[in-house]
Amino acid sequence: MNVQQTPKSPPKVLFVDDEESILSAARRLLRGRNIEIITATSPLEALEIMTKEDCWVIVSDYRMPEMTGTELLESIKRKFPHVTRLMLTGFLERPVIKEAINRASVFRFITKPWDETELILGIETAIQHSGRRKTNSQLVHEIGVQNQLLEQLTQNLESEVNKRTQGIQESKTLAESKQRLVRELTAFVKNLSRVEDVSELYDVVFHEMRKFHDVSEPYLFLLEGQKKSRLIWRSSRNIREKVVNQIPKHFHSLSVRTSSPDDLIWWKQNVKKQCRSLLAIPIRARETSSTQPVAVMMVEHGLAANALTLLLDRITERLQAVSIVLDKILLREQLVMATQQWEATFNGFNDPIAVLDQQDRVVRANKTYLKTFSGPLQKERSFRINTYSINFASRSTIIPRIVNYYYDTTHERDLYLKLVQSEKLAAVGLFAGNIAHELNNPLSGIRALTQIMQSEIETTNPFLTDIHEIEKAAIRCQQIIKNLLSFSEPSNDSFEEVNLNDMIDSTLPLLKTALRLVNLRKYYDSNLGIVCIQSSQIQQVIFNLINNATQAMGQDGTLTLRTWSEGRYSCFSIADTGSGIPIEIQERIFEPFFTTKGVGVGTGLGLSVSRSIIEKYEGKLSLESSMGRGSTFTVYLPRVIK
Amino acid sequence: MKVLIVDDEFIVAKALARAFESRNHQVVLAHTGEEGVEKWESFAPEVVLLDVVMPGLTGPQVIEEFRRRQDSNSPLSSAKIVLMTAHSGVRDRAAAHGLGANEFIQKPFEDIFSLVTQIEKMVVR
Repeated sequence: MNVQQTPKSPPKVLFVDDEESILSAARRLLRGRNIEIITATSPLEALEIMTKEDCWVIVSDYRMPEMTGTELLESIKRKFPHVTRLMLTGFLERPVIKEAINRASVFRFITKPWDETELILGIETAIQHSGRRKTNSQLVHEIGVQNQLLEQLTQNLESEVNKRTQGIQESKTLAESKQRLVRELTAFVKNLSRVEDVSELYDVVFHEMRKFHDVSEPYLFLLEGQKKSRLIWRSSRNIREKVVNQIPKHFHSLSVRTSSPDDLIWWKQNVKKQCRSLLAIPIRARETSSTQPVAVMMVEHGLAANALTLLLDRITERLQAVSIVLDKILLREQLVMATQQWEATFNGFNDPIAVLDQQDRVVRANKTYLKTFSGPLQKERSFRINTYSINFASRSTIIPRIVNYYYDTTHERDLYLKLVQSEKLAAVGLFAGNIAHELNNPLSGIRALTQIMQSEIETTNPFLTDIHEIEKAAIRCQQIIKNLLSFSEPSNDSFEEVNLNDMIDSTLPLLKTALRLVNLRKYYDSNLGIVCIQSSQIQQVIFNLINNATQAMGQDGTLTLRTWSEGRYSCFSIADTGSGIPIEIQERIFEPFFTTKGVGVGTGLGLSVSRSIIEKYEGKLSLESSMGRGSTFTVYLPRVIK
Repeated sequence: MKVLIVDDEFIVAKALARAFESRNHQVVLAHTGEEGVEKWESFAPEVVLLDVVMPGLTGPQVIEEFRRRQDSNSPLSSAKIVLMTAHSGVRDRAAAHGLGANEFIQKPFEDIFSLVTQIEKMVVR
């Protein structure tokens, strides 16, 4: 409240006089000024008005019938001390003035008949005086009120401070307990983060639960699909695990609950224990919209309601972390399984597979690859390599890799080479057929002429030996041609049923010269059976093989001839103690025109002819040889079944 | 004995000629089939040694051509004909007869003199 503010309503001035004319004159005088004039014709009326109107100034006549002006103003002073009191009087006797001042504290005396200016000035001065007093008293009042408020406020503040102090104490305790909870939660999460598998997870959860007395060891069901679950529990310090079939439907949309009848039945069936109260907590996978939990934890407890609430709070706080970790574990299990499956598949291939980096280094390979390419190769093998380029994406980088799939074409190649060889042989045959005759003609002439010359010239002629050499060379050429022709021309010999022992023995005399220098050992099987062959051809084979063997050994070697029966074959082998045949040429020696003998010694046809002869009889000619130990050629010929 | 040798291989023809000549036979050489037919007519040999495979007229064609030109009663046609070949298709006498020859000789010759002896015996027979 602003005390300086001029009141909106004009200040009220009460005029008291028993003469109406005076009153109306006063009204007339004060009209138009910012003064509200109220009039009273008697002191009683004036007192009456005073109780109703908030007058600032009272102007009273002295002589009035009921009481004097002094008496009225004295009464006004007592009742309304703030009203400024003026007295109108026709005469100013000292005792009256003295009494009026002493008793009624009259502010000013105005004489009748009044001077208008004096009256107006007197009234306005009184109004100002009254206003000041009024303001003062208002201020005093205000101050009182404010003091009161201040006092109240102080009181309030004090109680507030007290209250706050108490609050601080309380929140300190609260914060401490919260801190403890957070610490516990942090420790729990920290433990969880070290968890690698389900049993470790179980262990951490178990120890957390253990902080509550009267809570049993939990049973953890990992739901895998709709019908299978893994049950994990602790039994005598060991964490056990088993597969449980038939999961009740209510498991799939479970929310945290206690002692549900469904759960109790399930517990009894699977855990085979009596149960007081059962708490079932579903654990949901992170980041899935599915309501189906990935696991359900069941705990038997004997907790009272408030302890149970605490436990539930605690569980709820930790459930998210458990979810995340469980998720991680399950994902890892899946990853491990996927990796294992992939590896099994990768290793399951019977063909070698390798993953190479850009520098062609093998970064990954399957077992077949390792088996095939590590260690010395037993035999020369050939592979067709299918190469795929693959980009493995790893986070933001792309790792280019090359996948090589090795297709073993050794068998294919062998077949192909055989085909090529037989084609080669056929070509040789054709070639031989055509060329042999062309060569034979002039050779006949050369040979014939040398014969004539030898018969005609003197035995002392030095050219005689030269001519003899020419004839020998011609004869050798004809021998080669004869060999060549055996490819192209079917033998006209008839087929005979013979015993291979006899066959070999009948061939040996032809090799007298060759066998002269070696030790011969014969191991014949008397129950060899009979083969149906053209003798001259088989003799040619035996001849070629023994001839080769003796050439391979030189002096003092041992030639071992062996015959035996094996399956549907009659077999013979010719083994030498020569230097052996290097592995890289073991197949090549059967190729036409391939020879290791010196120029002019071999034709390169003996073995290829021999093999083609044996294969014509649906037999086999094979070689085993090791360096430094010698070689064994084995012939298999089908027996005549009788 | 008059011997006509028809062979496109000079050295063979020469060797045969020398072998027959060494036994005092009269030899005429021809190096083609056509030449052979001419000389067969002009020389009137008792024995004709005829190579089967030749450029131009082959041995059998020479026989055919000669016979075509001659009257079948002509004494010239009485000459003994010996086919010489290395080919497998003509390896026996029967085959040689089928081709109009009296004898068949397998090339290459093992011994030229025994060949001459063989032919001498044949002509005498």
